[in-house]
Amino acid sequence: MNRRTLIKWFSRAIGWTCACIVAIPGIRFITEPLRRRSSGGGITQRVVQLANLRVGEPVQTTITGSRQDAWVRYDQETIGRVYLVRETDDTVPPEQSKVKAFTAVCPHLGCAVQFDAGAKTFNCPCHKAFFELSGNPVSDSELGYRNPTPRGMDSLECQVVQEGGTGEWWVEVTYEKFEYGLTTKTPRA
Amino acid sequence: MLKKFRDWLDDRTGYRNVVRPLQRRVLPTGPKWGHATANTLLWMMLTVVITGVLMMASYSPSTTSAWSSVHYIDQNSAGAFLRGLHFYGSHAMIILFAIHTLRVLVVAAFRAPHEIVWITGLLLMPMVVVWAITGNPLSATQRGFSQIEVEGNIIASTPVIGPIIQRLLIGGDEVGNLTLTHLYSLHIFVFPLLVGLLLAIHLHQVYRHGLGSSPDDGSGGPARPYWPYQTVRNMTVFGITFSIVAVLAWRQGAPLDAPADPDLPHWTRPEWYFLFLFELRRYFGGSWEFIATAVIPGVALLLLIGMPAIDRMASKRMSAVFRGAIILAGVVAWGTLTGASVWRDWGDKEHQSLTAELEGHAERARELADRDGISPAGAISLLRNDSQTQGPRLFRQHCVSCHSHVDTNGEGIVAEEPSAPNLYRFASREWLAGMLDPEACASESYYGNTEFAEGDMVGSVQDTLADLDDDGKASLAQLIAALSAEAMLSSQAALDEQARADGTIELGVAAMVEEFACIECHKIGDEGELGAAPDLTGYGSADWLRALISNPEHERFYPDTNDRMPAFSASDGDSSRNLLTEHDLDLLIRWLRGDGEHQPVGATSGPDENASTEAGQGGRGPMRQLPTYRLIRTRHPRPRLMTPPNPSPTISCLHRSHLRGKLCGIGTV
Ligand code: FES
Repeated sequence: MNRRTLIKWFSRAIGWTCACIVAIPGIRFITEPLRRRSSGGGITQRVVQLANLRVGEPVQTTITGSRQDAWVRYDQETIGRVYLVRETDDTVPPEQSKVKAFTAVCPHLGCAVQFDAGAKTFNCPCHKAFFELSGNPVSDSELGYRNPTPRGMDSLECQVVQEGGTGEWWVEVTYEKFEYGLTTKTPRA
Repeated sequence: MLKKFRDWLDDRTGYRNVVRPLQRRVLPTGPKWGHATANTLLWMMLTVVITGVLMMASYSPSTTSAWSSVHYIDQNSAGAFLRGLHFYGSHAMIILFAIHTLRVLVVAAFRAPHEIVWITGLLLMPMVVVWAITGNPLSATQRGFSQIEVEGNIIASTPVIGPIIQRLLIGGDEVGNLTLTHLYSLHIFVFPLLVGLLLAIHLHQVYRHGLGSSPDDGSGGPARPYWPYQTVRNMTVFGITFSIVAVLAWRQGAPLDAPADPDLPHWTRPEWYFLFLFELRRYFGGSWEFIATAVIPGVALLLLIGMPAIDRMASKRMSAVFRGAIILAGVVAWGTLTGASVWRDWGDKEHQSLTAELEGHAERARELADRDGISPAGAISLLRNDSQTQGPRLFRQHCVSCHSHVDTNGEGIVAEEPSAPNLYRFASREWLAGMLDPEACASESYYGNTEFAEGDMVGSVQDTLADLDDDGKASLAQLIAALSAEAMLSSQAALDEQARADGTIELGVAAMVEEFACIECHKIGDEGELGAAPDLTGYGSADWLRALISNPEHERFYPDTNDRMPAFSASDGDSSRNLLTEHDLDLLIRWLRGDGEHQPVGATSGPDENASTEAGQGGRGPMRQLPTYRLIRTRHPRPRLMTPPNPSPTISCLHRSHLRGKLCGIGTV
């Protein structure tokens, strides 16, 4: 290796080293959102008394919690909305009664699903997805067009539990978020 | 002097070597109007960049301050105009770009040696569109945030890399502060830089190879210098375009939607130039959507990039046919898809009412920001603390499954199956007159569809109030005045004041106690007992409503006879357990009562409120004492004659219409 090649390589090395010293933390910094995953798992909350639910009349409740948005933390924010659909009436003892919980987030692209009390269907105003009370998508033939949703409404884990002190029966929901647009319900990593 | 300076400058910089060839540039086939679009596009881009830089001086990218700072820009008429130029200028750029590309395609200006001009131009087009898109959410509006959210999800539907790009763009799971800072850096630096670089190559190539007007189109004239023959055409077209943009900016201004709030309904339509993609996606199901959003546009772009090669292989005729077909297909496809989307929304009542609602929110937010200013919590709190906005929303969410809220014209929030009273102007004199009317009280506007239809109240109204003589009618009117005064409705303040002064209220209370014997079931003040029927003390007042909605089965209301009304806020303290948070409950009540929202939510309005709040929530606090007027007088200290029976200035328009309103129709609703 002669002198000229050496100093060429030497210059290149200095340049590239310095570039890397900027680029590596640069890439790490910019891609930080990829590594910062939401805490995972859901939050479990008692949302409503069983006595306040009626069969065939879904009730929307809110899930509150704290939310971190980059450098701001919001306390007691509404972080999700949940529809509760009671399936068994008062003739069934509370511990055996069935309540279904659906997140109000549309599985298509994440708009807020609404409930139409007249038609007894859930619908999403964004691209007109329709769901039955059971959460299943309304069939294309019934709609007259292709239902844009890839799957039914996302159900959430939901239990009827008795409160220690008061003996009241409460509905407890574990709130989670799911990926949009997939045919199967996949929790967000 | 000036000449000397120029000579000196040229000696040091040699700028004449650069400028002179530009000045002496000659167009071999003469000037053309068609060339003017490209130049107009450049000037328009310059306008947009300059106005953008000016706005940067007042813009602050964060979820709490973005909307506020944009609104601040708008509050200055010059700022509003600049923002308008920026906004309409960017739309004009996209239109000009489309025209420019079509023209180049028509005259086959991509032919050798213009391939690089053509390709850089084609790459510039989507880049400019994306550049524009990164600007839309910067004002942190509901519309902008919904759009970026959906755009992010569209990106994410591309296999493998989609989700990564989405996360990097949004800056996490949800649209928020990082979304704004990311988009901001893209919008003001990265895209201008990339566009600038490509544009430099593009223009350098144009300069090097001349304008690509095809020699075979036969329209060539004699050679002319560019300046001023082409320039005058350029400036004319630019002048016209700029005037349109300026007039729009001046008359219309750039829109500013309501501040983004995940609790408000989402805006669901993209910008007009993307409607075609929005429509196209409808035809592809689930995980195939990326075909519509990535594959089809990608293939179209590749096809266009390959045009110079295709053109060289085909005969002149074939190429012309092919280009014609592409243009036709492109324009027709874009037009039909866009048209179909617009057409669908046109016929979609629901979409229109949603749009109207969102526009109402936008207007209201600006109005509130102008009137009260914006707190450090940010623009989001404007509407969140506004009963006029939240009231109807909460009512729709929680109450409409049983209650309606419609005026005599049937306008308002209509329950599909009303099974409880219509709450429009609840506890006002009109409302009470209806409830105490033998026919109306059993109608669906009151108790017709409840268990109480067969109950004692409806029964006694029908028995005792059916055939009243004139005296009886007079004392019924007094009763109504007295009971309605308990509600302390701001819209009735003047009437209540008058009734109190002329003794109507005292007579009315006496009628409740004696003549009509309401106290047999109801409690009012010290008279009567709790348990059989709702407490009439403070009937319809904010505290009474708060207590009732919180827990209708409280002993003050329907301990044993509650029909179906849920307890919305029964557990104190832990608001996550309640169907309604205290804040929401407050807003709902404020709206139901038509109270102005000029006092911040949560603030107490007077000494009496504390006392009765206690009574309302705990049920154990001291009940308010009769006579009522003493307490009420402390709330409305205005002398009677100075208060006109018309709306006071603090009452907003909503309430004004209430006041103007006809009496609640009896048995007609
Ligand atoms: S997001 Fe619900 S239908 Fe598209």
